[in-house]
Amino acid sequence: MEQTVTGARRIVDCDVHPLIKSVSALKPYFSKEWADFFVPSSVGQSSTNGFVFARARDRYPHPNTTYRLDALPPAGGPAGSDPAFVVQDLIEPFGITTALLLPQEHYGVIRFASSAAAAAFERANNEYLIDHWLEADRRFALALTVSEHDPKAAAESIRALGHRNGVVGVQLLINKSMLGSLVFDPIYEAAQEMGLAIVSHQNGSEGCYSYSQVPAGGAPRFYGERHSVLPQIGAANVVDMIMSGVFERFPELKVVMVEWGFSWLGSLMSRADYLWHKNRSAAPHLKRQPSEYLVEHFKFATQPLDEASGIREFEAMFGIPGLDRMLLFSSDYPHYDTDAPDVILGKIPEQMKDAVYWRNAVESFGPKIFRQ
Amino acid sequence: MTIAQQQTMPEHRIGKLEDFPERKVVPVEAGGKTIGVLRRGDDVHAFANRCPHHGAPMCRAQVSGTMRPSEPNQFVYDLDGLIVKCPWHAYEFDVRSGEAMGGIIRGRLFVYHCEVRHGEVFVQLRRPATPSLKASPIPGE
Repeated sequence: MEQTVTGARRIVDCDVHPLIKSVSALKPYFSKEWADFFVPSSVGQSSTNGFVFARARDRYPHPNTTYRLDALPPAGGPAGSDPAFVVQDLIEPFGITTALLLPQEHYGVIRFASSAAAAAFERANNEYLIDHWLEADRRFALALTVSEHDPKAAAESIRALGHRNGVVGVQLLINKSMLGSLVFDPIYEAAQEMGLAIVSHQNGSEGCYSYSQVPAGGAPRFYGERHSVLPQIGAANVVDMIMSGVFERFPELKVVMVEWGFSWLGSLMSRADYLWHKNRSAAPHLKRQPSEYLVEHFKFATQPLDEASGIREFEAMFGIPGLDRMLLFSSDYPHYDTDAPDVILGKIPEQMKDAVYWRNAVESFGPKIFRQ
Repeated sequence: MTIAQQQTMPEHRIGKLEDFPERKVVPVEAGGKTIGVLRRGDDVHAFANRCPHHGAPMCRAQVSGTMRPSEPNQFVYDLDGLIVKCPWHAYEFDVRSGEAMGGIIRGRLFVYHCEVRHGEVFVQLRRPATPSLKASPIPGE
């Protein structure tokens, strides 16, 4: 077992959300024209939780505050807006070696009709986080965020910023297109070239943003109903990437699925294999059965870990074939449905701990996930 | 713990009744611990600063009521001011007993013995002798 100098296991937390206090903070990263466009009258400026930060509450009441009340920085600002406090509140107490930052301001970008505006906002936000978070502590890592508005511009941005110390992935927003669509190829090509993993995190609920993907069957009635079926969207995109041949086109590409769950993987893999074998002529570009691509290319983050009703369900959940190669730890700090690191890591079966704590993260993001 | 042992446990005066507003959890120090205190009418309840689920700080809980199980298209809001909602996963606990609403978790929020005498509030860091909640009227109603 590889250990840190303190003797503890390395721990990579693959889902930590930074928040920018105000869009005004991005002003130095915009051209004058884009600053005029975004800063004076931005939608969401008056939000208590930051710029364009709106989620399920737009459709139905959220069961709590979206963020942990105890994660509000003492110096003010929304939860997740103070790098020093994240270090103090999460990284230090739980011995987190690397916290992967997945910014959420971008989730509002998917409703932008202007591709140029989307690219300008994403670029400014990414550059801000590099300067203000990656520079603040070497235990932060960042997934640059891009959307499908203008894949060529996104690829340029990935190539321009992907070499920066601490940048380890590309958070790709799900919008109108499934992730197996050819429209993403410029993004996948750039990510593979730069050695950056694609990260997919749920981004915006149906009805909240114009183009957000809807779980099968229609719009759920309330928060709990939506989150019960939310893995559908993740599962559908996993299968779409595999069946469309993304990994034949980009054989080195790694994908990290965050907050989509994982307990459904067993049935998904067996169904995908069986049905592909029955209908191989529809996807003759696949050289192997779907589950082999899945285990080789995908990782899945733990949060929110399903609350197993008993030991049999728990063992079934952790007995999914290949799971020891696919599972990553995540806390979702500072959101209300956070998984406490000590509680969740304590539940991971002993034989999987090293893989889940950090080894699988190295496989996805490379050794650069640990900064010197 | 025997009744005699309970009676000899240290009692901590934590303030006057009017020091505790309704619908707001007040953190206080008692016996070296930070505990949450919530007033409802003339009663005061005290509980541990740790959610039994993931250990979240319950002194940051929001105060609410809860929806009782009901018939379709009926909504029965109840226990207003007696529910503390975990600041993390929104688990709801009845502050009188520590019981999780809806049975979402078997473990209870630890609640402490709390008394109001002559307008002064006292806590002992032991479980209260909780009466059956079904037989217990809601204070002030």
